[in-house]
Amino acid sequence: MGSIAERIALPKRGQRPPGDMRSSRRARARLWDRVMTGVIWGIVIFLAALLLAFVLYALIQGVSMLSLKFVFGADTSGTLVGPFLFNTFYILIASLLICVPIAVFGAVYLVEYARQGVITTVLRFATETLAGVPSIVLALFGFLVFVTNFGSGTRLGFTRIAGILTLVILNLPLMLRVCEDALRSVPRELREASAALGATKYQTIWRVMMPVALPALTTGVILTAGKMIGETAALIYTAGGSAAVNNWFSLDPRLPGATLTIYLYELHAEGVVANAAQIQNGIVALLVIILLVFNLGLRWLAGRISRRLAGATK
Amino acid sequence: MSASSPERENASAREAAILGGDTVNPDYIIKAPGPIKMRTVDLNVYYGSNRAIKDISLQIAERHVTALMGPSGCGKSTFLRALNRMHDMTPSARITGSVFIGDEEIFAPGVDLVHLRQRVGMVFQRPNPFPSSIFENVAYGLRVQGGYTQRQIAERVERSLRSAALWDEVKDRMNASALSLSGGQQQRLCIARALAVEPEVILMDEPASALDPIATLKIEELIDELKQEYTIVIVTHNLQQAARVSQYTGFFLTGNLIEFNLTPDMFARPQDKRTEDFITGRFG
Repeated sequence: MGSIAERIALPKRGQRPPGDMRSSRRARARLWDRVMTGVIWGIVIFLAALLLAFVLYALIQGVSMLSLKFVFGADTSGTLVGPFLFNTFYILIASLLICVPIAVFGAVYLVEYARQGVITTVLRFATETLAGVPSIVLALFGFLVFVTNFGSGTRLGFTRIAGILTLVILNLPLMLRVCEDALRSVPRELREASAALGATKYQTIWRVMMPVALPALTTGVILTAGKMIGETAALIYTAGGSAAVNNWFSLDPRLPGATLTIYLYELHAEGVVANAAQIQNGIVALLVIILLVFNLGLRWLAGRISRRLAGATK
Repeated sequence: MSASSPERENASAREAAILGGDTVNPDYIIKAPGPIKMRTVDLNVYYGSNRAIKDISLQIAERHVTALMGPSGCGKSTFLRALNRMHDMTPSARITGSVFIGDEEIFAPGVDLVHLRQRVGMVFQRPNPFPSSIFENVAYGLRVQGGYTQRQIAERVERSLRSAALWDEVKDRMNASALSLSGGQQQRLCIARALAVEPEVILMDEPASALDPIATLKIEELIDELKQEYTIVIVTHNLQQAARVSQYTGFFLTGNLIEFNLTPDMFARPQDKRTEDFITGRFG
C-alpha cells in the first residue's frame, strides 16, 4: 500500500501537491479569468445603464407634455403634432411595404436561384457600397430625381411619396443583406430533407426556409424600421418641412410629408416658438414610446407566428 | 485518372502505396441473385475536377438491406446521394454513367425530380426534423404533394409513425415541437417522415452515427422490420452495424467499389486484401 501511495504521490493535508510547480501560472490564469469576467460584466452594465438612463430621461422630461390634446390637438405653439405623427407612421409603413417584399424576394434570388458568380458578386458589392452612402447624399439624389425633374421643374414635389421612395433606396441595401444572411443561415440539412421528401424549390423556400429564417428576418425589419422612424436628413429634402394641417388623415401620397423628427429638427434649428424645448421633450418621449411599442409588437407577432409553425412546446 | 495537378498526383500515389491503388477486381463484385430494385452502371461523380466516385456498377436487391461501408472519405455517402439525385443541389457536382430504378434511368432528360424523390426517400446522418410539430413533420411530404384530405393525412401519419416504432411515444403529443424529442426519437421521426411518402427505396446515410447505443439498437431493429416492405441502402462506417443489419455489403475505398458480396460471405471470407485489412481493423 505504501508503495502505491508513493508512486502516485498523494499530497498530504496542507502540503502542496507535488507536480504542481506551475501553480503560480494557474493562479494567474484564474485571476485573469476573474478580471475578464468583471470587465465583461462592467461593459454590459454600462450599456444597459446608458440605455435605461436615456429612455428614462426622455420619458421623464417629456411625458408630462404628452396628452391627447398634444398629440391630436394643437401644441402650445399652436402647431398640430398629429399630422407629423401621422406622416411618421404613413411613411414608415409604406416604406416597409415596398422595402420588405423587394428585400425578401431579392434575397431568395441571391441565395437560391442566382448562380454564384460575377453577377452576384457585383450585386453584393453594389448593395454594400450603397449601404454605406450617407443619408444626406441619397436625400439630394431623391430631391433631384423624385422631388424635381433633375433640378428643373417639379416632379413629385415635397411629398410623402418622394420621402418614401428615398427611404426605400436608403434602407433596401441593408435590408437585403440582412434577409440574405437570414436565409443563408438556414441549415443545409433542412433544405436537403425537404428536397428529399419531394418538395419543389418553391415549396422548400416558403414552407421550410422562411419559417426558420423568420426571427432573423424580424430583427432585420425592426432595425430597418427603427432607422426609418428616426430618419431625418433623407426626408428634409424629399418629404418636405411641412405637414398638411386640414386633411392630415388622408392617405393621399401627394400630401406634404414632414415627420416628427423633421418637426423636432425645425423646432431646434428655427425654434421661434415659445417653449420650443418643452415641445421637443414631448416629441422625443413620443418617439421613444413609438419605437418601444413598435419593436415589442413586432417581436410578439413574430414569436406568435414561429410558435404556431413550430407546434406548441409544452 | 482523377489526377489533374502534381500535388494531387503525389497524394494519390502515396495513397495508392498504402491502400493498393485503383486496382479493382471485377470478380469480387457479385450480382445479387434475387430481383433487383436499383442498379448503377459505370457511375462517376465529380466535385469540380475531383473524381469522388469511380466507375461503380452495383446492384441493389429488392426488399433487402444493402450496406455500404468504408473509411471516411471513401465515397460511400457520395454514391448514396447519387441514387436520389441529391447532387443536383450541389452546383459543382457532375455525374456520368447511369442509375436505374426498375428500368428507368434517373438521369434521363424529362425525369421528374420530385417524383423520383418520392420513390427514393432519404434519412440523413444527423436527425434533421423541421422546426414544426411532430404531426406536421410527418405530414410534410404529403402536404407538398397535395391532393390528400385531412383524414387521409392523419391516417398516413399514424401508420408511418407506427412503422417507425414511434407512435406509442408521441401519440399524445402530436402537436408538440419535433425538437422536443430526443435524438433517437428525432431520427425515427425522420424515418417516419420518409415512410409517409410511401417510397420504394429508402437511403440511409449513417442514420445512427449521432445516436447513443440504445437508440442505435432501436434504429437497427427498425431497419430489419422495414426491409419486409422497402428496399434499403444504408451507409455506415461501423462494421458491426453492417454485419448486423444487412444482407449485402459493399466495401468502398478511395472512390472505388472494391468488393460487393453477401454480408456473411464478406465478413467470413473477404476476397480483396484491402477488404480484409479493413474488416480486421488494420485501417479505417
